[in-house]
Amino acid sequence: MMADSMLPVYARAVLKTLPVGSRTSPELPQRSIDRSVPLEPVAYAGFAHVVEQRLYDVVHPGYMHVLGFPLSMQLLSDPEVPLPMLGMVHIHNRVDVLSPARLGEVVDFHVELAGPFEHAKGTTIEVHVTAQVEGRPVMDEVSTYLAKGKKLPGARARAQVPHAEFTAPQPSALWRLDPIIGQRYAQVSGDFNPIHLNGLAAKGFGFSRQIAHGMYTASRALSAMDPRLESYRWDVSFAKPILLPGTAGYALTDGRRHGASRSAVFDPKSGKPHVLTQVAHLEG
Amino acid sequence: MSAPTQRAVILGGNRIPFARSNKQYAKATNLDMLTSAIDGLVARFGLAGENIGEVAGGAVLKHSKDFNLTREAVLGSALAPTTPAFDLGQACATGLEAVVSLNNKINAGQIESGIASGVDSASDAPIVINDSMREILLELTRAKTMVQKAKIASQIRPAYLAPQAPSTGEPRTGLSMGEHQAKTTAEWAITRRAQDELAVASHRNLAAAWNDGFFDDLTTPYLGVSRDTNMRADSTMESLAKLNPVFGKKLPTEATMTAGNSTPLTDGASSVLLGSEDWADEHGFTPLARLVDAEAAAVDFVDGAEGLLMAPAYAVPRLLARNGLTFDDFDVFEIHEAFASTVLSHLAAWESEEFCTEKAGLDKALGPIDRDKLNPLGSSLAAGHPFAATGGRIIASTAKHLKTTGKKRSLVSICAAGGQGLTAIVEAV
Repeated sequence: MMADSMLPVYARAVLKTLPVGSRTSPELPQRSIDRSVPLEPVAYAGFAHVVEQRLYDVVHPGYMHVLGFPLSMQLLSDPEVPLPMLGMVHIHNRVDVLSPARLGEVVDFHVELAGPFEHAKGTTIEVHVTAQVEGRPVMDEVSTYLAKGKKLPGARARAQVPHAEFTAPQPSALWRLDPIIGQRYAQVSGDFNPIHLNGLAAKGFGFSRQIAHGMYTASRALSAMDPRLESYRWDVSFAKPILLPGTAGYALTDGRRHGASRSAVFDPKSGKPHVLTQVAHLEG
Repeated sequence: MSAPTQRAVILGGNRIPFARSNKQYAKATNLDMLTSAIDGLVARFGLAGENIGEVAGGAVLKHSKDFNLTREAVLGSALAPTTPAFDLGQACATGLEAVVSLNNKINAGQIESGIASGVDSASDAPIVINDSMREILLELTRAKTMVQKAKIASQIRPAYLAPQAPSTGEPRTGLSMGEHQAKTTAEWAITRRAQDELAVASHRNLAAAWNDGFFDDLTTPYLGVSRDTNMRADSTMESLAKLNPVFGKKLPTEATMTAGNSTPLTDGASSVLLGSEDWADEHGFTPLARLVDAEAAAVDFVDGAEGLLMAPAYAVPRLLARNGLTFDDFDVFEIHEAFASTVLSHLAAWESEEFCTEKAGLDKALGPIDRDKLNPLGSSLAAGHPFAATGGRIIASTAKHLKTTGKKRSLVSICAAGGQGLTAIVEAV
């Protein structure tokens, strides 16, 4: 399981939170990781079921994120990264699905960091993941993580994804989420961040209860949108996390299922958004 | 349409009275009830020891052990054990689809006789362990060594032990049928008053039919129940007006759907005897009516493009067009009352120029239905709705109604989960 490989990463992340003297450079270490990972049907089926994706040969791009995730965390927990990994918030995720990745294929991942970038609420770092199968590009991903309230001198300017006004529609579906979903997604994604597993840990990070993985919510929304496109951009903005247990509303806000469209996952009571998703045709 | 070489006819039916769930039939299984409904039919028609061409049936809430439910019912019945059977399912249209399927087999000359049946128990419902626990248990059966088994078993968490009860929720939306219908009710601006009126009429008509003895040769008492237990002959607008809304409370519009104008969870079973004219003749059975044609439709409700229960509104125009008929050609309209507002939404759609021309592909609106012709024997609001048993209740009742009144033609319409609907034309013979 990926879980095993993630533990030292979290251990290192915890160590990084200890004061070890000020770092001299705001620059990120110039490192990257290359790794080949087979798309293994049984492991993938677990992921697909949890995010309510019909199981077939083409792999959900959320799973590609999952495979790249431990590599991302390995880079982010590097002691030379000038921001603490624990407590960083995943605020945005953009995946360009370039061609279908199929079960049985071996994916070559290349992962590197970009940033730090200025952000209105702190500083961001991006993880860039590219994935190829036998030289054929299958995915480019940019995951944006925000270190809230941390300002780094020398952070570069970066155009921010505009904060869209959101008015909650009537939900076309309700997702009743048990706390168990945190454990189930952890099992299939290898992301055992305790804020998703345990209410006490979540309180430590300022949440009243344990919260659903953002990429769980995003992946499930994509399953519901079910794009039937060879290539597309899957763009996700994370807003308020879903507290577990909880009920989230889901609705398409633009376009139709299977095509270019937008969707929202939101709190049906307050109308506040959790995850906003756009599936768009790739330009060019 | 070319005339089939054999003509299937509806010969009769038998059901057990329907009972509100968790009451008299609380401990009766689907198999118990289905066998009783079939046995009652066999007794009424003197078919003990006979081979029937095929028995078709199903249940919506079905235990996995009941994979051969209808065949098991046949084996437990007085029919010859050499009578074949098959299960089928189309949610709430299961019972009607069983009739259509056997009707077509008889018309095709494959069988000479058939019993269409359906059953549902909302009381003795399947309860399953949740997916996490199920996955772990399946992993355990695949594990070969004790070490592997111990490792897998260690993943079990207390929360995984909570069972999952079945719900009437749509799998893709997580919304109950009532919440789906509440949206449709709001879209068509169906009033509380109109819904309550339909409910009162349903109870009144069903009670009148019971009092007239109409159901005497269509039902067999079961477990001490001799009439549908949901029926309230004294139901009035005033008594219904006191009920609080239960669905659509979170919509911006006024919530209008109550327990009084929505169908309760019900237990029950039904069966219908079909045969070729020759077979009926040989057995000395008098045909009641004939199922002339049927049409199914489905809508894309998943993202709210159409209402979950609106498929019949699309099926009926196609069925009428294929048979060259209009509403004026019908004497009876049997529209299953999942909710009062479901029926009223269908009526509103057929009266709507916009719906009929833009969505149903017609030149103009189908027009209104004479309300005196609507559900003259009551329908599911009064009788209750044991999902797969409703089709058999309606077909047997409307066939007998045509025979006894001398009326000519009945339109049958049943909405079903998954955005489906099945409709049929029944004609006097």
